Amino acid sequence: MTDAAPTHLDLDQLADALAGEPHEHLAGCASCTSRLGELQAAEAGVVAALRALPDPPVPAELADRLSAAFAAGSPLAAARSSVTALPAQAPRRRFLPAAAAAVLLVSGAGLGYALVTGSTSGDDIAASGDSAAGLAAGRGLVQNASGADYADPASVSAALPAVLAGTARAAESMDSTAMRAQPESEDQADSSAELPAPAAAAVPEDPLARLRDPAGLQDCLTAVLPPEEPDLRPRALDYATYQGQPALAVVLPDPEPGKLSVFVVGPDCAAADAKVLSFLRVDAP
Amino acid sequence: VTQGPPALGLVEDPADGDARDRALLAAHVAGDPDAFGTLVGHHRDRLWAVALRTLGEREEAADALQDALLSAYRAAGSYRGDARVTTWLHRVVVNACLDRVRRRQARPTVPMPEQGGSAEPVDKHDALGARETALEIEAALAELPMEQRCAIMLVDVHGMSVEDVASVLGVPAGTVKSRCSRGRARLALSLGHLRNRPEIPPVPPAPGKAQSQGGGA
Repeated sequence: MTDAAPTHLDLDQLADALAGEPHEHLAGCASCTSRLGELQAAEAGVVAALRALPDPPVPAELADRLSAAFAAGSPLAAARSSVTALPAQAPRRRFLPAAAAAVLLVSGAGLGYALVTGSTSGDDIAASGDSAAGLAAGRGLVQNASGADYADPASVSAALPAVLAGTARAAESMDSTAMRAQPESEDQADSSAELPAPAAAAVPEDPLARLRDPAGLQDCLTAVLPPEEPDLRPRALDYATYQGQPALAVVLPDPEPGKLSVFVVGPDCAAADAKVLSFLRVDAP
Repeated sequence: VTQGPPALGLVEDPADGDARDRALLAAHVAGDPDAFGTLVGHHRDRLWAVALRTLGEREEAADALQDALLSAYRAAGSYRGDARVTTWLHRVVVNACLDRVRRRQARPTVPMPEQGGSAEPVDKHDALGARETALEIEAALAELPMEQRCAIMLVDVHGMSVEDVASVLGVPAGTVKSRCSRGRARLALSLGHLRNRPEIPPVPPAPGKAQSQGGGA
């Protein structure tokens, strides 16, 4: 931009010198040395001014939204929302009424972390409406069954390498234990009386069967994957558990290198409602 | 859900509230429905300031903050106690904000909210109208490249240690120092603390203002 004195240090270089980076030029240049002293003095004033800056108060609307979200009870309750409810590349979201906030909050939270992807992964993946199904069912994604509990970080860490490799198979134990572990609250017991009695069930019904079926899986992934990210494909699927309950873990790329995003959804995950049980970011193995 | 025992050796100063924060977080993980809201209440203003100063635009900052806090809400079980709770919360919020910045950059079709340009980051209702200097400083801060602004905001404005900020930003401490120093130098110039001698080339304005790469090893 300026060629006034190319031999002198520019402001960044002076700043680096102030931060402790040695610079040969300084030893022989009185002008720059003097300049460095000025900068040092000025910096003290800048720091003092910065330190005195008041924090802007949280807007009342935002405070209400946050309170509503955290007061809504469990994150599971708040998570019972459709991820697809989030408008794609939307007109900017305005402050929402508190009631709607909790719903949109969760979908936003997941998307904020999970659904940013490198823009160049769509080599041969059609950016069509059914890409999710193509990705999941037709693109060779192994239906892992690690048996991991995605509420337990240690369990996830242990399972992840095999899950990503597509070699995590513990289907037998997972299916049976998941069924047995499924507690029914009193008020649900009547309506679910048809469930096979665990002891009698030679082949217990697989609660995740619908999500193993390509159509059911597509339906679920439609909710999990954002419409504006047609190139995004899961890294892996794991038919596992969450807090002892059957759950599907959808492992996605994460914007941060070395990380993975994991959506954990319940057996009822569908386009209209992803039934997100948990969202976590984990270190890629 | 595991949350290891509090790393007592790492709790430096009870007065800074970390012991309280850890207890609240543990209570949240254990199912206390009010604990997380209480925890956030202690840090909300500061975290809001982080989001607002990082993104420079109120609505997006609000979205980022709520996204981040809900993520923290759900990921609390993965907090391992090796950093202070407030550092962890800052990390979650800063990352949420930076994710948004990256998405802006990746999608040029999405209108770029005006970043700096004015004293926009400070709301006119913030009762700071009389604080002319605060507005000026905020405006100058908003003009800094993103990396420098983040580092300065956390270190100088919020008083975090360089080590904590390095942890928040995921960069070496030396990088934080460099970003701070460069950012302060720019602020010194733009705020008039430093005479702009013609023979010393100032750093050219970073292209695209806040989204530039400027600053840092």
